[in-house]
Amino acid sequence: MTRYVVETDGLTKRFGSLVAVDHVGLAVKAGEIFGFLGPNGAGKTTTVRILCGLMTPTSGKAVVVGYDAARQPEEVKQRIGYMPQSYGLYDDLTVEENLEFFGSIYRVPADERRKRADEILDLVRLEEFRKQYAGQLSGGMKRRLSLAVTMIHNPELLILDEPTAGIDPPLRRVFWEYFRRLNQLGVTFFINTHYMDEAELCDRLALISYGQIVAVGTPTELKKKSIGGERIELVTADLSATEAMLKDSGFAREVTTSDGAIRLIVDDAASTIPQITSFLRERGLEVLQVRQLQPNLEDVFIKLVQEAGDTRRP
Amino acid sequence: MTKKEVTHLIRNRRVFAITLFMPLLLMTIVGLAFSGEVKHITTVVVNEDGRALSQMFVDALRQSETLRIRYYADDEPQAQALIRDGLAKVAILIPRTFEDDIRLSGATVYVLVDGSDPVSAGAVAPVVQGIALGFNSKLRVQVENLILYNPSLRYIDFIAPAIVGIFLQIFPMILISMAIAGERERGTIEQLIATPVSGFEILLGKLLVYMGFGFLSATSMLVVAVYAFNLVVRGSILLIVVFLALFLTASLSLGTLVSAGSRTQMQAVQTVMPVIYIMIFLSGTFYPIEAMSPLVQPISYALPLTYMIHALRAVIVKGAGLEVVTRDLVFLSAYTVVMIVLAVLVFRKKLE
Repeated sequence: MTRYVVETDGLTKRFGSLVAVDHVGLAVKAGEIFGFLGPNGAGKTTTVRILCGLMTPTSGKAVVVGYDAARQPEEVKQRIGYMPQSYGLYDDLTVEENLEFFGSIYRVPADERRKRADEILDLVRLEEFRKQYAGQLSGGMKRRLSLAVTMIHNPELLILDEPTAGIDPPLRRVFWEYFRRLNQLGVTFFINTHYMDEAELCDRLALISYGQIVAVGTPTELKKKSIGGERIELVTADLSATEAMLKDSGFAREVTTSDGAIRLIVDDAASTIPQITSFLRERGLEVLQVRQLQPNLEDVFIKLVQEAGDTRRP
Repeated sequence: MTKKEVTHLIRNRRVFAITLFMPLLLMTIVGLAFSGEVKHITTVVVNEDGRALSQMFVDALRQSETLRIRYYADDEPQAQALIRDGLAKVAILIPRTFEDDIRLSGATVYVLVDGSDPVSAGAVAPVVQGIALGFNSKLRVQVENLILYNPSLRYIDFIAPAIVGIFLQIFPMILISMAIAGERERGTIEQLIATPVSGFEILLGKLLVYMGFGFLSATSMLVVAVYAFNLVVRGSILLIVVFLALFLTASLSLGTLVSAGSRTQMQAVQTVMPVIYIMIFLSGTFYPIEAMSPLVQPISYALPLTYMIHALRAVIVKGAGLEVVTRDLVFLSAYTVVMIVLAVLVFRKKLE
């Protein structure tokens, strides 16, 4: 049976008249990298703050690692690691002292603390900077230290609020390598992001817009869902004749022509492409060019959000 | 450029309010506190003579605005006890032979003043002198000062205990409110409260550190006053320590409250400033509260610093015991308890 480390039901947070989080229902499986994708101001940070027990929801419930985040926040806090969006470590303490301090308030025994600190510093490659003041580190190193601090007590779930915001792409890749490595060791990740390339790397995604969950699924599932199938682009000598033929054929749900090519939406591109090619050849039309279009997540996101918006505001 | 600066100033409400109201507030407070002459000094009269002429002299004393005759004692030890207990600042002794002396060579009226308050003490002598002259200029009447404590009327003995009180009111309060607001300003509070450490532990950690700091500063101030400026500590050290501990706790709790309403260290300091001015000028540090305008006296008596300074002066300069400072102890204890409760309530481990 699947074990869920995060389960929310009807989670809502209001700030005055603003509904920052609006009946959010989420289920994060143990062992996955779960991405929480949405534009700035969509309610991602508020949601994770509730999950971490830092804010009380107006209504609804959040169960995190088996505990009610509103009623037993300390139990939740002991078992998860949280990396806030804004860097929040002590600049006038050294790298080592920061780890030591947070280790001590998570009540990690002193000898284990040292061992753990060594391991983590090795993982995030900060061991040569351990005696430096945190304030003297570069932005990227601060983020790495921040990540290190969230792991000092060996949590089973890491909740990261935009961990790579403002970090250059090469370093972002390095971060994702850390995430993958930790994930293989059994750590579940809940990652807030607004980067589409990062979202692609998640096992599953939830899309949030104006505080509401718009869609949940694997990146592939979401792409399929947003366009109702997979997209094929093909070129023949006679585009208008081809379009007419394909429209009657029943292969595709949607046939359009634009920019000198025909675009089709089909259920399964891999099996349909050969069928269409032979179908057209039988009718004297040679397919000059054909390929499956990989939609990017950005389009998917925009489309799903628009659709959700349409249904919400009729 | 100027327009932009003015906009900044107006948009920053807190600074704007301070710029606008601080000068008015400050001058009003100082005016109400220090305006005019010293008035209404609580006085005890010992009329050993009791005959008609001496009664007339007492009536003359009653006409004075400077003095407020609250007590009539039978003898000098009784009057001294009233001063020691802080119930009166001045004792006026009319000797048994007053009427006879006036008829013969001239009488002497003795004025005993409480030297731990040189401002009142200094104001009384000339006033009584004047009344005496007006009462009977033909008859030579002398006024002598019998100063009970602080016989040389040194201002340092008056001010040193007060400065200790002021320091303990201000610096620990500013430091802790800056420390807490600083966690918020740097964003470390979010990382901190995401851990299982309790809000009380966070608060306690800070309280203990600044409590230690407060004791260290109070001790060093008193050491300098004693060894460099010959302040004599007459009372119980233990009693002083009890007062310091109580007052420090209250002051730190107040700092925590201030920090609750401040997102940055700057805001914390700005909030503290007006409070500090009110405390310094109205707590009787420089000027006896009895002499202040009745408008501000209720404020004075609501300030914990007033009681702290009264207690420190009584214990250090007069060597007063617990029985004299009971009222101060009770008020400060109650205040401290309220402050701690408020601070713990306000310092919630949430981001809202």
